[in-house]
Amino acid sequence: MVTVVQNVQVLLLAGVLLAACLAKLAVREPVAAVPHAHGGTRVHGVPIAQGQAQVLLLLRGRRAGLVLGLVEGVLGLALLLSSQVLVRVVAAIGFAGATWAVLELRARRPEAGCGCFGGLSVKRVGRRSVLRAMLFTAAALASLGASRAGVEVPRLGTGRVAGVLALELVLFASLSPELAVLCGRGRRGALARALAFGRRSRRDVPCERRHSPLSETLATLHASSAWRTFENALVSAVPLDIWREGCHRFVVYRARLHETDMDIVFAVSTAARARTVRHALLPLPTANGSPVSKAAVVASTAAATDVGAPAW
Amino acid sequence: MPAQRDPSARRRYRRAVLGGGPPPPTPPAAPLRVLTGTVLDASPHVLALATAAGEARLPMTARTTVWHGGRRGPAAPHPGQQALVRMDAAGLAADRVWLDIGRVTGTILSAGPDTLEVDLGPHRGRARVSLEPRAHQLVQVRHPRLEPGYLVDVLCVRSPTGPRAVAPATSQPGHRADDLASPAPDAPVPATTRGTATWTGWPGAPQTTGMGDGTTFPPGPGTTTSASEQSVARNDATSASRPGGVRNDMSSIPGRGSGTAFVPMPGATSGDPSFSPSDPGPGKSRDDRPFAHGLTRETSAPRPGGAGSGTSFVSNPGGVGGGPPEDAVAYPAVEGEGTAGGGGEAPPGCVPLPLLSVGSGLDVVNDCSGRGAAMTVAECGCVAARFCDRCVECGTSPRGRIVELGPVAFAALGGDLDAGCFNVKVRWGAEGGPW
Repeated sequence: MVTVVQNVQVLLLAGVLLAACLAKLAVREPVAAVPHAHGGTRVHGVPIAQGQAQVLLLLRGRRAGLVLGLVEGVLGLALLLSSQVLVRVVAAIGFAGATWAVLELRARRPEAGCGCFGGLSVKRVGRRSVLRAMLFTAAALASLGASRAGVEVPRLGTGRVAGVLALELVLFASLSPELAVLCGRGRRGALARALAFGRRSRRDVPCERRHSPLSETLATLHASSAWRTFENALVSAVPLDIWREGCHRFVVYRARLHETDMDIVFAVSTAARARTVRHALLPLPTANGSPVSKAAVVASTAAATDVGAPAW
Repeated sequence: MPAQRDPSARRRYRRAVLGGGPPPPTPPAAPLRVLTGTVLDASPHVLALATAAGEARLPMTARTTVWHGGRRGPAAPHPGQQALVRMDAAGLAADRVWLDIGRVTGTILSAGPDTLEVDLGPHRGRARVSLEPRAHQLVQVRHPRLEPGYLVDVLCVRSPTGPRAVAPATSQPGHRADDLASPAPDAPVPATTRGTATWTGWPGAPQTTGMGDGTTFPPGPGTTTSASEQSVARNDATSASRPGGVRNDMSSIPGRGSGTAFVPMPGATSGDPSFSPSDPGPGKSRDDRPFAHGLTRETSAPRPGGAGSGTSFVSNPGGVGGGPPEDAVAYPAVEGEGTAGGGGEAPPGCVPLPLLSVGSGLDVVNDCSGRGAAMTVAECGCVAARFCDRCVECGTSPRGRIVELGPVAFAALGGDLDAGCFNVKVRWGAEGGPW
């Protein structure tokens, strides 16, 4: 059984190194967390001094990350294909160095993330990350007693190997904050795809928070029946005012109807689909400068609603 | 692109097209009366203030508390200090007096042994805060990371060279300024949101930022320190150094006049629609509305039955300059499209908030005091959005700063400036219907 456990570590470490390689190559870090060329992270565009953690953070640059990822990939493949002790010694040294780096980052810049799995490791370096690095180092030390290459390990007994490997994977998954980030990315990707294909999704961005470009609002407005009704009454094609409140963007035009100057207000929905357009007419203050009476506003609003507002 | 319009006009338009909304189940209590000005004279029984409307003599009682870098006795006020006074519920005597108070909130740009340089946000510039050893220890109790990139929120007192930190205003978030936990994209927006309300600004005369370039702090939300205003503010600083020289040249909101008194206006009759932030809906009188407590400033007319024999009003009789809009709030989710008023640098914040524009209405209620008022979005709360903290003034609030008030409005709603925050309930679409 001890031999199986030792050899399973080789398979585990090879898988971890290859996963880290793939993550570093495929998942970029967020822009805000990437160290800049002059050697400092920026906050609000301001370079931040890093002190002694700067050397470690340099490894977080895109180029350094690519090199590190490639080295990890080569080492992972070597563990899979070679039974040389030297490969496992190099792996043990590498994991010990990674443990030291994680400890340093936790002490000096925990909020920067460890970068162990590229852009997936952006969460704060916590005790889980440190414990995981230590366990990986322990596994690497245990693998020194193994006799087989990674690809040969299943020959020791598929059931026992799979059992030990599954237990270890569950343990390391519970210690990995990267899984939550990965799941979050998956959810966001699914949401983007759902929106792109125009399918109704329960995960739509609420209309109150949805970014609705001005061009979309104007296109919706110009396609509405309310616009067609009042288009010829508009004094100017340039709106008097445009602003947004929650689920509506308001567009105000000056219009002249029945020899009376009026303001016409369109409220265009900002929803992702089935956008509606409501409108109201407000007579301008009278010639002597007094504001229009409330009764007039109420009457004009009711009339406008009858004219062309779609069902709400 | 059209020019930005009067906020009251936008409210009128919205109400016309969407109609009025259901009233809240329980109307809030009216705001308290607040005055700001320069201390002319002080005794244990009377505080004389030079306000923009003239001299105000405010009775002090044994229950009046005075703050000047900490709780002080009735002998703390001295001539020349800038005071913000909140009257008691009856409006007869001073209840709380804050002297030379100000607040610096933002991201630390650099930290020296006795100074902090702070980025106040994209529209508020920068400030250099001095930290004396004693204050440094106090601030570090709740701000353990006085390092570049971290947020800071400190109470300060005025000094000729710039703000001097005296105590932490709130606890420092553990994350860096740009390490924000945004709400899920599909998080729903409730009609009423609870969270934290804070304040920002420097009541009274302009206060230099300490950057050495002549810039001054805005007195509250809705005011900026653009280059032109900065030069005006520099001129004002000289005139404000003498008693009675309070003058704030912060009139970025149309229809906002001068003065800094803050009074409830229950039962007021309709006046200039561009002045009142809470114009009643069609078919309603102002008294019918639950949020009839608009926030307005007192005019030069004496107030019958008021304290100080009608002399406690603050205004600017000369009509020059302007005051900070008392009903103005900084709101974290101001849209950036068109003339909505938002900027591209606003982070999403940690609370799902509806996108609003400058001029949108909010009903703001202090959950601790029960006092509320209709407020108007005046600028982006880009700094408030970076804080994901709670307020524990009365129970523990949900996370997130929902609004940033001016100091006058904050005190009028029952908040203590030295406490830094109050638990708040904000209802969207004041005067409006369901969005």
